[in-house]
Amino acid sequence: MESSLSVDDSGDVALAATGDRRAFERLYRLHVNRIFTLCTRMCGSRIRGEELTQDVFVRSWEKLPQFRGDAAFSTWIHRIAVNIVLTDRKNEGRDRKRLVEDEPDGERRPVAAAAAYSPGYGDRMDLAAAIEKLPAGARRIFVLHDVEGYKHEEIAEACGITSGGSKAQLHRARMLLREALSR
Amino acid sequence: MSYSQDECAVVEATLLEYFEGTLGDEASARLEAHAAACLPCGSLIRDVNGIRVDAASLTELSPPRDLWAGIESRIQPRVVSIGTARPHSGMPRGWLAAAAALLVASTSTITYLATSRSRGEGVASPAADAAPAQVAADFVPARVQANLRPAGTLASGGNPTAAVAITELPYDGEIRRLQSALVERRTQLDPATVSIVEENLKLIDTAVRQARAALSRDPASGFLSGKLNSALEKKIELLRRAALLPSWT
Repeated sequence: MESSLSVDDSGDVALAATGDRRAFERLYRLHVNRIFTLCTRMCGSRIRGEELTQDVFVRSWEKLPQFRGDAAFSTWIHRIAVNIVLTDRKNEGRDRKRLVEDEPDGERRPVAAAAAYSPGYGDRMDLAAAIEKLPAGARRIFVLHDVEGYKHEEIAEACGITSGGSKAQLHRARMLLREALSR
Repeated sequence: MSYSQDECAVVEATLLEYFEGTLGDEASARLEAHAAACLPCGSLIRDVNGIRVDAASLTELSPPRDLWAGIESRIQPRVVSIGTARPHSGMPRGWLAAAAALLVASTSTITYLATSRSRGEGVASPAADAAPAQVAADFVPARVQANLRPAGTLASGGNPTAAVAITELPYDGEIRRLQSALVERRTQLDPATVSIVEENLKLIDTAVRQARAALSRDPASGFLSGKLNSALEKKIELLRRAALLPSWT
């Protein structure tokens, strides 16, 4: 499939903004994998990732008339996806039941202690599976920074935390992943 | 060669900054030198770097099913205001005018038959074509007379628009003829019936005035044109029915 980042979708964006649903479907086809990947990796669940992906496109449709074209559509919808996942209450509820509690932002946990938080991984797992098993806070920051390439300042603004908090979560996530992948 | 725990702790503590490129040249060189000689710290740096590289090159996922149907069912066609939908709203004005002319032609025929019958019953000729608006004054309330005007002009006194003039043209002559016929028949009709007809005409004329006022503000609105035509048609229908009423005496 052609990369959603390299295609000129401005024509379909303009049509969709006027209410053309066929044009919006073409935009969906072009960007769905990237959005689904982001949602799934950030929330740690493929099923919830599907639901969130649908939410992202519905929200995009609603907000499209306000899209001014300052950034590429792919960037714009990507940010919508990040915001939706971060504000996903259902995800938070599930995460509370997951494995471990996140430590407060900005608190740096020593590697040995972080490893002790490591969930019950199998003997060895691939990186994608290990990311899914991370605690929610660490997983989101790791995905945004190391997978999606956001800067700490951008993550801090999106997540409502400090830049230091973002760095602490990233460090923790890397240590947990190392521990998981080395077993 | 062995290193103190303090030195290894420094490596761990500065690892993030090292990969961020914010550690500084001197500290980075010291960390690299330590990692080159310390097996655990060298392994730590290699592992974390491998995670970073692998994470950045993770392959895209695909949803296991097509999600579009669920999305499509949730997105609604955008609501477009009447104002912005003018080019597509309603029937073209030419068609409206033609339809109105056709309607009036048919009602004129009925009116002609009705008034002919009235004349046959001894009612004076209404001189329909020449009947000025004042002729109706005896029957139609003064405020309603405002709606009686020379064909092709507006009673509102506001900005005349082609849309209103075109769509109303066919109604004016018909209304004048029917009102003239009614004026002549007034003495033959039940006063209670006349009163009811007058009240209904007032209501219809109020609707006509409101439609005209709205049209003067939004002349291209097909919706408002339709409302005005509907009100005028009701007026013609009421006048025609009244003209056909049997004599009271």
